[in-house]
Amino acid sequence: MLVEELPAVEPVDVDWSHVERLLPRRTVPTPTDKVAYPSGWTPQRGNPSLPYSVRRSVNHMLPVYLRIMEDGVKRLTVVRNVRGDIWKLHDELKRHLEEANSRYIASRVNEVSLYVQFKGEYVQQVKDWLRERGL
Amino acid sequence: MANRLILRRHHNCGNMTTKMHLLLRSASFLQQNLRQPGSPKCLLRATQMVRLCSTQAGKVHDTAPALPVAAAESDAPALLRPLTETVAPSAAAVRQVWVENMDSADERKLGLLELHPEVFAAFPKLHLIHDNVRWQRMYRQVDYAATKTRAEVRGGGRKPHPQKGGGRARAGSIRSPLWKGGGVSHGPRGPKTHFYMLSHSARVGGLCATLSVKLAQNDLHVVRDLELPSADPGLLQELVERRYWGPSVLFVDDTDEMPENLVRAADQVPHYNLLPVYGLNVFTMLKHDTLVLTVAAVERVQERLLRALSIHNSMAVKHTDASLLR
Repeated sequence: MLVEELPAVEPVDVDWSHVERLLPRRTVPTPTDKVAYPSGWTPQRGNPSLPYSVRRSVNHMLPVYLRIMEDGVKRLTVVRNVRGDIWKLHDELKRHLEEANSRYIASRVNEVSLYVQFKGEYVQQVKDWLRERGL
Repeated sequence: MANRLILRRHHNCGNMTTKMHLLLRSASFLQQNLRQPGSPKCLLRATQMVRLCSTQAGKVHDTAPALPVAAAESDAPALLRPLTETVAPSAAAVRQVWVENMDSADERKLGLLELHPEVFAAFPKLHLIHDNVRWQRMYRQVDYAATKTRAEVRGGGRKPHPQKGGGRARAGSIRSPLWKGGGVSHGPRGPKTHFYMLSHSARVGGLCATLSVKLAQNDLHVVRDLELPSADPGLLQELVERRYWGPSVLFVDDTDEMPENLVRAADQVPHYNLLPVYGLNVFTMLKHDTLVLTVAAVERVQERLLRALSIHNSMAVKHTDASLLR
């Protein structure tokens, strides 16, 4: 067919937004701005006065995890991706946990893998402590 | 387009400058794409530049309490996208590098470039670097050792002597593994591949760790562009030696069409190699003593690695992405 014989075409404006919103996202989006979140989640505000900080996960969550070992007998609270003065964070957090729980808490610092570990189940207390400091 | 295909097929083996030479020989279309000194790509972007005599150099920028903003998720690669942290990196964490010149052997500093700490100041996780180097070696390794079992060795179908009465040990076949010349019972069986895929996060982490190590050890240099005044390899060597760049140098640009003078000069020297950004890998970065990246290459690497660090579902990452074949 010659070019002159082809039917005329015209561009049509199509609103693809209803399709685009269904396509999967490649990266986690930044959370929407709110005063308070029903789940209790708080965004990272940053605290330049502190010599340490923790890097949030890809899903904007605090990197505090519970490791259950030895068939449920051994429970470890791990704070990962600690930057800055890791020993300072360890000392302050340990002091806080020991006061709050009135007991000695065994702990461990790994400077190479950047994590701090406490023997026991203190995930929520650690998260609240970090949130207070805006980390 | 054919030139780009040639480069990509061979980019994991052999001498990089040979491929650049192939590029040169195969078409004159390289001539059409020589970058002019005044082209926009060579200029530094004002948003990422800090003047040498800036009055703001001494200020300490406190991290502003940035509340999360509802940013529309877009795949536009132009600017740095925010990372998982809603707070920008603090001024103390941001790394700065000099932008140097390549247009003469004399060293001149043309400005400063700021680098994101997640990519260029990551903690040097040696286990990730090791894992990446091992993976790059092992995934292409094929072990060709093969032995025959007693069934495959020629002969041995008949019982050599009766079961009883000879004073000899009983035997069913002359090719049993106990016999000389017999088959191997648990030997290597045929070509074996050691292919495996390292996890996405490990590969990204390895790249960030290696770049950080190179920067921390003063082995990473940023130049405005790779335009040499002439194709004389002696000039290039003098340039490298005067700046105390290592014996082996890797020049990284964001395209695979490199300036002709550099291609011709580096082709004469086996330890000066050229690489486009998409070919960056931990093994090559460690193999060369010095990395020299252009400003465009740094921006591209930073943008892609920051985006890779934000991916939450590595299973959804495609390994051949059309946007990568730029």
